[in-house]
Amino acid sequence: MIDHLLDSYKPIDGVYDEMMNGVIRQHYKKFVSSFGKLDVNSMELRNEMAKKLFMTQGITFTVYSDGEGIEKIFPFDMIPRIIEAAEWEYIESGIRQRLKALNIFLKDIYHQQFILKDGIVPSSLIFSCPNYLREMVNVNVPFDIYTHISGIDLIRDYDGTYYVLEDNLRTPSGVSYMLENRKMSYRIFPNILPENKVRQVAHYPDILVKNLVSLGSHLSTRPTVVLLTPGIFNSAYFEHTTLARLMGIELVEGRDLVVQNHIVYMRTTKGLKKVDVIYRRVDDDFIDPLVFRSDSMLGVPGLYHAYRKGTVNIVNAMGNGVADDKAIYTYVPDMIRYYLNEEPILKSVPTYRMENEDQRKYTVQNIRNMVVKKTNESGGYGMLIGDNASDQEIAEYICEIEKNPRQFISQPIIKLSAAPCYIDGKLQPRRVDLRPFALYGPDGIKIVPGGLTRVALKDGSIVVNSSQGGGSKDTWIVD
Amino acid sequence: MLSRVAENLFWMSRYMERTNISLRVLKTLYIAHQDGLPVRSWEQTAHQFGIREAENMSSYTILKTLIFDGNSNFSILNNVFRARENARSAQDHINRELWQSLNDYYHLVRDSQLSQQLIFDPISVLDQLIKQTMYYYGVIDSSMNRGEAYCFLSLGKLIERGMQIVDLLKTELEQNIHTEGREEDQRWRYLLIALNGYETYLSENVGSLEPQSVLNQILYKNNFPNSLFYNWDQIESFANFMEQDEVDLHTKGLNFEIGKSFSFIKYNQLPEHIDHKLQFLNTIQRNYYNLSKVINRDYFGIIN
Repeated sequence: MIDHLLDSYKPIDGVYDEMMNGVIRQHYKKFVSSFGKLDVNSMELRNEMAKKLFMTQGITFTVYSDGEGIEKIFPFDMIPRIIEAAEWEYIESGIRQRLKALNIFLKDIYHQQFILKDGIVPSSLIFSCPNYLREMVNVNVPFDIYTHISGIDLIRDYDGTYYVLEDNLRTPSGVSYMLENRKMSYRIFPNILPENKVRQVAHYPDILVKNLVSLGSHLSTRPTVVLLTPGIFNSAYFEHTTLARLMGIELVEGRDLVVQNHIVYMRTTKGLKKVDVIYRRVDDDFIDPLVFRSDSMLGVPGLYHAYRKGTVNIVNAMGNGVADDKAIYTYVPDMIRYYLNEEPILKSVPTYRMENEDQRKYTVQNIRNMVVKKTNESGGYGMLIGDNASDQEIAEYICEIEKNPRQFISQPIIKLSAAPCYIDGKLQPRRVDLRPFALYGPDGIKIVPGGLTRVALKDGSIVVNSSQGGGSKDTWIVD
Repeated sequence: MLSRVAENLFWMSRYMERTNISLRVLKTLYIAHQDGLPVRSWEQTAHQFGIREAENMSSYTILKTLIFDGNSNFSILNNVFRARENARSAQDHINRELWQSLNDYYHLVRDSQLSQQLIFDPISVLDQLIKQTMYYYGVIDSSMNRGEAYCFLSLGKLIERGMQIVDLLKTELEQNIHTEGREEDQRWRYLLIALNGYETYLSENVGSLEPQSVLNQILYKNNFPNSLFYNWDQIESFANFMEQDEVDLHTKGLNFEIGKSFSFIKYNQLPEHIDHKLQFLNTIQRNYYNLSKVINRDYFGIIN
């Protein structure tokens, strides 16, 4: 059958391979045996079918030019990434611990600021962070929850150790791809999922909507929940519509909402209707033009003051960006020790802050082995990968660092584990990360077993972001 | 339902019905040309669809522009694109099958193979597109919940259909003035074919093709789905449906406008003289505009 596909698979030297360790790893064996029974000629057809299904089902993002949209799909690799249950439990407990600490940190820095007074985190770092919102100081958020929905990016080093690469606590996206990738898997590999006893992810919208409703329980017995989207031009619009539909809530744009006497209403065919909970996918800067960016048309004038008055709950809370700033990231292990009196379960990648002279000097001396990132950028933008950059690029980048060191951090280049991908009719190893999604509600933290595995589809690349040629694959948690 | 979403659904439906009727008219027109009985020149048709400078264009180029040209404002491609953009903004209120049918339609009309096929087999191309429209209507009919979204979809479809029919009738009557009645019968025949009413007509008017009878069918026949009488009757049924507790969308303004407009057709006969006929049709057209205004004001919060 297709044994030769597996035989020709060659893991990358010095890189942890998710499937192979000389032999096939135990948790991949069942899949490999089911996969082995497939007809080799059907592989290309299945691959084509996946692409076609994404397109015909409109699982796309649209790039607009000249008024007409160009449809693009987020590339999907059909070979799943498999994680064994025991490993997943370790990941889950690590994320829970981390989120608890980050949530307490957010409450603390917007209220008493004990962590600053005790000198655990330098005050200068917080107050110089562009995502620290003074408008959130002394604002009491319902149930003391700030990080209702988060996506924690995990990577593995050459020895298989998991590291947290970054915390996404603002408006993390990608969960719809987790759901769609799973649907794609059972279309491409009929019966293989039940054979492998893969844990389900389809209940994610149910948990989310339950959380959202309970987050408005103090405002109404039947809270009205809406999802606030920037609109159809946003690249994650597909995700917004999918989630709204699966949760049965209204998908609103800023222009659909109006604030009167500090109460938020939506304009409906039957007049104004009060809104209790807003799951917003609009960034802080754009959420209220009266308080933040006055040129923004995406938000709702008066929303901030309604929130501050407590007549509406906003999910995630405003001002979370200070906790997922890449310079603050360095201090998360200290936060865990400080707030929870526990040792961090998940490791953080060693991070050097460029405003520290010694650390900057060390980075410049070892720049070929370092990744330098901007503290408030995401999506793989504004990043320098030392072993891949030209001398000129490095020189220019160092100049930028010298101009504003607070804006940069550096990390040693982590090798990133590799997983098999079906590319050009062959199984080839490509680097992957993992973004599990955690939901923090009044009943605690829930994490669906799975997540979004992003994959750097370009040969030799370690950048998994979709904007930089990355794709995704389904993530299976198996017993 | 959000006012914006209701408006999106209404316009999605209007664009799709405009597509439906345009395709049928184009197909009939093409067949008439092949039959050697051109009911209207391609140039006139191009002008009607907003294409200027069509003088030196071949029939193939005009047809291609009318269907596939993204730069032509009223092309089928643009209609479907706009319908899909409206659907995209209302995705949480239409079911997935409906979204997929529109998405499939959009990819079909952008398919380069289909536009190439137009060179040698335009009828199959038009048939494929018409079938996709029927699939879209089939999905709505068989799977959409009969609630608010369905009401706005239906109102959009009926208003657009009514306005298109009035336009077609006016064009035919004006054409008649210019050609002084030459080949009048053939033109009405092709209009009936375009509106799927030719077989109905034949079964009730064996052996004769009278312009007045054709007009009566398109205006007054209460079981012909493309008659104006039927159209207003359906609009009134929807207004009654909207009064029900489950939908609860009743407004006095809407009922008044519908009642007044339906009465105009119900209790007025088509005048004899052609100018009066045109005035009669203008009044019906104005009634559709007024109804749209009321919907805009009462449900979408748009005040003109």
